[in-house]
Order: sequence, then C-alpha cells, then structure tokens
Amino acid sequence: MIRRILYGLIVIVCFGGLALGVGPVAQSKPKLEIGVTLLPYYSFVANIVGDLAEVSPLIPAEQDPHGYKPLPQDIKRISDFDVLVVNGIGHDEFAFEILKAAQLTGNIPLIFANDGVALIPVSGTGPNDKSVNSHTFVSITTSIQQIQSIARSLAALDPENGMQYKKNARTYSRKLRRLKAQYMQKLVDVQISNFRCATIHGAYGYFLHEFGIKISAVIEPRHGVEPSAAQLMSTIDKIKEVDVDVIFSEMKFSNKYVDTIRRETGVSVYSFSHISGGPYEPDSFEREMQKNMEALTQALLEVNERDRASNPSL
Amino acid sequence: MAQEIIKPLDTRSETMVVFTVSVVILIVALVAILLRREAGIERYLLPYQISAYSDLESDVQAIYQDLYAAALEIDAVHDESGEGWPSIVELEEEYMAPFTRDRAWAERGQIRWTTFTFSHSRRHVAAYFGQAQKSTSLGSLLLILNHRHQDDDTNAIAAVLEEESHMDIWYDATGELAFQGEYEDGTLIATGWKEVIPYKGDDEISRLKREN
Repeated sequence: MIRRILYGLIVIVCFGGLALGVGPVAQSKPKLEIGVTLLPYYSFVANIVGDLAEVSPLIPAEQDPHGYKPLPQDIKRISDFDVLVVNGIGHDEFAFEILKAAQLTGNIPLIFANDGVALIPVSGTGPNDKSVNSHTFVSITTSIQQIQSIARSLAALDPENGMQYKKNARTYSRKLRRLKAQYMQKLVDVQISNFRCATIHGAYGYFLHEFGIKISAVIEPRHGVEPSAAQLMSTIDKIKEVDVDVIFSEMKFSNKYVDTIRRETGVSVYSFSHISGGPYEPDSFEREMQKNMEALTQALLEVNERDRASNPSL
Repeated sequence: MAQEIIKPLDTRSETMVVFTVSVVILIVALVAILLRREAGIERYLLPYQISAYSDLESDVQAIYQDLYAAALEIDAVHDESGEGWPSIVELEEEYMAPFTRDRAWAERGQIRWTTFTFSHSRRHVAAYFGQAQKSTSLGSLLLILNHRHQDDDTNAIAAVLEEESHMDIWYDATGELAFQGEYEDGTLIATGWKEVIPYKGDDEISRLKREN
C-alpha cells in the first residue's frame, strides 16, 4: 500500500515538474543583434529597443568616423550583426568598405536612417555649390525623423517587439523635444533674426536651422586635420570678411587655433560637439546635444546683451 | 633622273593640331562636368512644383523642415489610432515645431495654424493650414495628409493594394491664398499653390550608388 502511494507521488511529481518546465528548458528566441555606425545611432537604437535587442557599434568609441580606415577586427565584428543602421548619405562610407571586405554586401540588411529625411545643402554655400549636408544626426528635428524611421524598420524585422519599438521611439522623441523646448524657453527675450554667425565645419545647418539661426558662412579647414599656418590665416581673413557676431567652432578643434582666431578677429568663439566620438551610451546623444544647445544659448544671450548695451532702445 | 622633293617637317602645323585637339578635349571635359553637376542632385519638377532643397528662402525652408518632420509623426499617430488626427493644441503640448509657440515661431511670422479633417467612406484626410501673421514675406503653408484605409471585409491581397497614404506640403509665397477645405491636387494647382518637393535621403542614396 505504502509502495503504491510512493509510486503515485513520484508520477505526480514528474508530471508536475514537466508542466512547470523543470524538464527540458524551453528555447527562447535570441535577441536581434543590431549594429550601428555612428555614436548618435547607438543612442537612438538603444532607446528604441531597450532590453529587447542588443546594440553594438561597428567602430571603437575613440575613433573619428571621418576618414576612418577599416581594420581586420571590424570585419569579424560586422559578421555578428543581424542588421546594420547606417547614415548612408556620406558619413559612414567606411561601413560599406567593411561590408565589401567581409564579402557581406547585400547579405546583412541595412537600415538607412536618412531614407525619408528631407535634406538641406550645407549652409553658407553659394547657389552653384550646394552639397548635401549629411549631418542629420546633429539636430533634434532630423534626429527624431531618423528615430521614427529606424523604429519602423526594426518593427518590420522584429514584429514580435514592433509595437514596443514604436512606443519607445515616440517616448524618446517626446523627451528630445522637451529638451529643446527648455532651451528655447531661455531665449524668449532674445532677438534671433539679427544674429549673424559662421561655423568652422558645415555640420550644424540642421541644428541652427531649427533654432531659427541663419549661417552666414562655413569656413572649413579640412576636417580632422590640424590647419597649417597658411590655412589658419586664410580662415581668419574669411571671418573678417563676413562680419559675424559669433563663430561656432568644434570641441575637437585645438584651443590654440581657437584662441588665435579669437585674438585676430575679435569675434567670440563658442564650440559645438560634432557627436562623433565618446562612450557609446543610451544618453550620449542627449548629453552632446545639451552641450550644443547650451553653447548656442550662451552665444545668443551674450550677443543680445551686447546689442542692448549699445542700443538701449532695443 | 627623277627628283623627289622632300619637304621638311612643318612644326607649326603639328603644334596647331595638338593645340586644337587639347582645347577640344578640355571643352568636352568641362561640358561633361557641368552637365553631371546639373543632373546630380535636382530632380525634374513639374511647373507647379518647387524644390525644398533649393527654391525656398531660408526661413521658409526651416519651417518646411519642421512641418515635414511633424507630418511623419502625425501620420504615424493616425495610422496607429485608425481614426483621429492630433489637434493644434495637442501638437503644441507635444512641443512639436512648427506648431509650438517658441522663440523660433515668434520670429518666423507667428504662423497661425488651423486644421480641417474629412472622412468619406474609407478615406481620411487632414489638412493643416498655416498663415504668417507678422510677416508679409513668409507666405502660407498647407500640409495635406491623405489616407485610404482598407475595409474590414477586404481580403489580405486587396488590402495591400487598396490601402494607401500620402502627404504633400504646398506653399503660397504671397500669403494671400485662402484654404477652406479643397484638398484635391487639381484644385490646389488651379488656385496657385505650389507643391514643395523634398530632396530626401533615399534620393541621395540612389545618387551616391549611381556615382559609385
């Protein structure tokens, strides 16, 4: 009798265990491995997917994508991706070289973040020299377009998580708009329309556009290369010609050159972040854009104060 | 004995021939470069269309950029909800340019936006009409979002063929054209609206592929 009870208990425990999944472990679907080419895209995708997918950069954090030359380890890295998010309009040509070297062209799905983005030419160029501005990732407005586009594409690739991706994209977009609104609020008493500026590098057209700023000139020594003495003098001469209130340089531009420009021209210089280097973190894009909005706000407030001081009727 | 006179080489003739050929090659190369640049970025536009990339004045281009970005989100919201279109107040509360009344709005004519929505059978249309209040040079903009939704009875294949949506942005540089709800392309063209055509990322991607 006791033996029958024991056998019965063993059977119950076995069946109960199987029902609870103690038996063979159920296989869970592997997470999507998403590669990105640029720092902002890391933030965009990380905020879209959260914990539902893995996001990895194609090139190391400290590398400047301008003129980046692919390395053998990049070829190994790219072969692990299920999909790759690219700028595709001139800012990550290295990704296509890596794909070609790995013989994976056409084999890894690409999400062209700028597919549906309305582009503008580099500001401050003449009517016969309109080259496309590829820096859509240094702006809140065009970044939101890319976030929405990436979310839709990822939803198509991973339908199970699609609704969540789109919901996360909308939440992230709202967060970025609020961030911009905070800085706009600081400018409520500033006369923006009279503000004249030049930039050193043609990366900031989308960003300045969305704040209502027109760029008078883009003065561009070769990006990522230290200017020669002759190039620096040429830059200084051009700045004097265009008669601007402020020059926006880049954080990576050496301080000694910035100081020389400031001294020789008498024009205030503020620096923007190109958002092309630094740690790959979900909030990297927000942090860098905050730096840019802070620099812009400070510049506008300074010029506004100066104008009021020289013309009290304003 | 027959005499044959051998004339010396005429270097002047040779020099002229080489010079002429060089000039012709240079001219052909220059023309080819110019033609390539002209055919590079711009697409062919119809008489009632203008380019967002090259035909808009800076302030109008900036407003267009904001409106284009907003349109993509408005479109997505409508697609997911199936019915509603966000109101101007809702868009302002979302801090969505060009509807939000920030400093840029104040300096760009203080555009007043109104919405029109239409629902007919399976067709849902929304129009966002903006007129500058404080500037005579900015003009007016009109965003039309046109959705045709599938019927519940429509089978899957027909649904793919039938469901369509598109958005267009129209511009009136004079700021004088009114909008009372006539959203059909023909009517807008006849009354003088210009359709603004963006140069998009996929256009540039195609151009770069052709170049490579």
